[in-house]
Amino acid sequence: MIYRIVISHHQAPYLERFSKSFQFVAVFDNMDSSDKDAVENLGIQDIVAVPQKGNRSLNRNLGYTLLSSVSPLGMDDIVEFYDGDRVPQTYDPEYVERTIRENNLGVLLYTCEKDTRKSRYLQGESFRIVDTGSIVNPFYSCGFAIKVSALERIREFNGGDFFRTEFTGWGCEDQYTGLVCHHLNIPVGLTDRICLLGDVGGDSDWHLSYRESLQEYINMALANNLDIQP
Amino acid sequence: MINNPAQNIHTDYATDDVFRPKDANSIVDCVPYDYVITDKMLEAYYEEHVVTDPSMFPVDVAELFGVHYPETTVDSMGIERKSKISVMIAAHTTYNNRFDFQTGFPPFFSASSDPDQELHVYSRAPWTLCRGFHHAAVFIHSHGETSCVSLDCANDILSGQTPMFVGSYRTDMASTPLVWGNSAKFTFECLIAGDPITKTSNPYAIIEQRAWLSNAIGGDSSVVSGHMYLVDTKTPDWYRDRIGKNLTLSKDDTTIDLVEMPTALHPLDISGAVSLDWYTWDIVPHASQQTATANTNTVLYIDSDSLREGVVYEVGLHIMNHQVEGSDRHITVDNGVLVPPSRVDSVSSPEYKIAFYQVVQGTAVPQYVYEWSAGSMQYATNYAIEIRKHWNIPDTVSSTATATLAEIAWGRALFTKLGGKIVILKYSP
Repeated sequence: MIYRIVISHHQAPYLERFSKSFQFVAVFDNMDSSDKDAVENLGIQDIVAVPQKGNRSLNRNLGYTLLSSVSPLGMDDIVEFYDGDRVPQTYDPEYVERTIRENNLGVLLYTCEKDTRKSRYLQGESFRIVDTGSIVNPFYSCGFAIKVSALERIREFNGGDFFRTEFTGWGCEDQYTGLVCHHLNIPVGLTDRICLLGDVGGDSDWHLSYRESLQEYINMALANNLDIQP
Repeated sequence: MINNPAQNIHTDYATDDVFRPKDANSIVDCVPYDYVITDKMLEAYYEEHVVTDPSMFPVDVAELFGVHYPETTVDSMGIERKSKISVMIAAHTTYNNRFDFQTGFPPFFSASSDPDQELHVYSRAPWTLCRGFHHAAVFIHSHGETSCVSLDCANDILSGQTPMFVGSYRTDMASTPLVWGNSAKFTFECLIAGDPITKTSNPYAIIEQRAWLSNAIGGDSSVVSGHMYLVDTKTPDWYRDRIGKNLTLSKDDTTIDLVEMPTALHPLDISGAVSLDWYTWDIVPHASQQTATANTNTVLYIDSDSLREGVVYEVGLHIMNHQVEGSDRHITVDNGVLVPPSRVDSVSSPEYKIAFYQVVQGTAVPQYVYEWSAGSMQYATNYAIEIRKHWNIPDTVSSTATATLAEIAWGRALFTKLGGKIVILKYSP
């Protein structure tokens, strides 16, 4: 079975498009009045959380904890994580389950409409198993599916966390998770059959503290003896 | 000496500001200096002190001014002491200007813990700062083609949050390295005016500053920001001959060379820093060249062997030019005079690069030159960033058009070295 966790940062208008036919947890980052209205309209108030502002790792981890508390998850179940505005434009749940099963994947990464990973990793194919052992790797957290068994292995390696909550800066927690998958021999696939709204990979937004975040990322990878392929 | 305190001029540059020597040239005569050093003052100082006691040279500025901080709140010139002091060196080179701002008992400017203290020194003539790094902040504003500051501050420690800011045509450094502490911030500027090829008798700032960086003993989190401006004083023919070629350093460290291919280079050693912003002057076709092709490659070369393993570096390359007011168009400079183009010459997509060289000891030519490909994040085989900006020379520009120095293109890269290989972590734009 597939479950959904959506991390919404003032992106409540998109939530309705995530909710159809899925049991899902919406985790609100810095909830405001528009979010509360959306929650009320969608009737999902029982499983809404308002966690620490800005820490998406913490929010995703909390989303998984909440989902586990309301739905007994089996090791073969699949959990999808989405950023709040990454609505699937093309989606096929049977494809997701079959691709993960047939390729023995732990993680299936989805792509966005404009996504530099398509040309770099897929190279014209719809699906490929990708190497996430490089310091710059294709593990983006904007939208992906993960088997509960793989997620639990990552949690065990990280001492209880799925995403490492030390990373509060932009764009490091998912790259680190990619390294961990490689380290734990968890196969990761990338597909463009599931296409999400929006652009990724070409982000020209320059975060002033990004150098420090990247330094933390590399320091943590080296400190945990992760096998990094330059 | 012009001293015009009534004029409202921004002079309190923060360390993060973009300090532009050309701007400084225009305002420096209007700064209300607190102190001025003249030839007559130095003559008197020599006769009174140095003749009888050679140890009084370099010039003890506290003694020169007769001011000892903080014992007096009003100096001998009747000016109230304050935490930010501006000094103008208006003397010539007769006395081999060497100034010590810190040795006096007590010194001219306190080495106190007041974080707001700033010492600003302006000069047209070459001079040497012998001591003074212990001040909370030191700002050196030199101007003119012959301006030069020599930093002869062996064993001075640039540390903590202390910023050191040097804006000068040329910056020399003594052979004994300056010691950098953690979190030290050093910003240098230079203005290169003249022919970088034929004027070999005068080493240029970029060379001196490169040596500066190499000699400095860097702290883990020290930050160096280097800005270089090339101001063209040459004829259009001079430029026409050189359009489309790379601006690089030659290996012998004595000249700046313009070469067609990136060979025999001396890349920049940034081992003393984790962050570097490099400003350079864009060379554009002159108006008379009707079928102009752009200077297609402006490249900052970095010595990859100088990078420390696992350290994340951030390098920005900024391309400067005069920008016609209110437009995204640029005009040339000829012998210091803005020359509007006479017609449209579309100059498409110049490229600006930051490239990495692996220097192999004992060989004149770097072993590898890494290029990049299109895309955002790059794998290890692509070792440079690219800046593109399309710009056009305007149809017509009024002969009275005003232009300001502006950044017309920029690029920024975050990279690290892992397992001996450089990895681009992010670049923009």
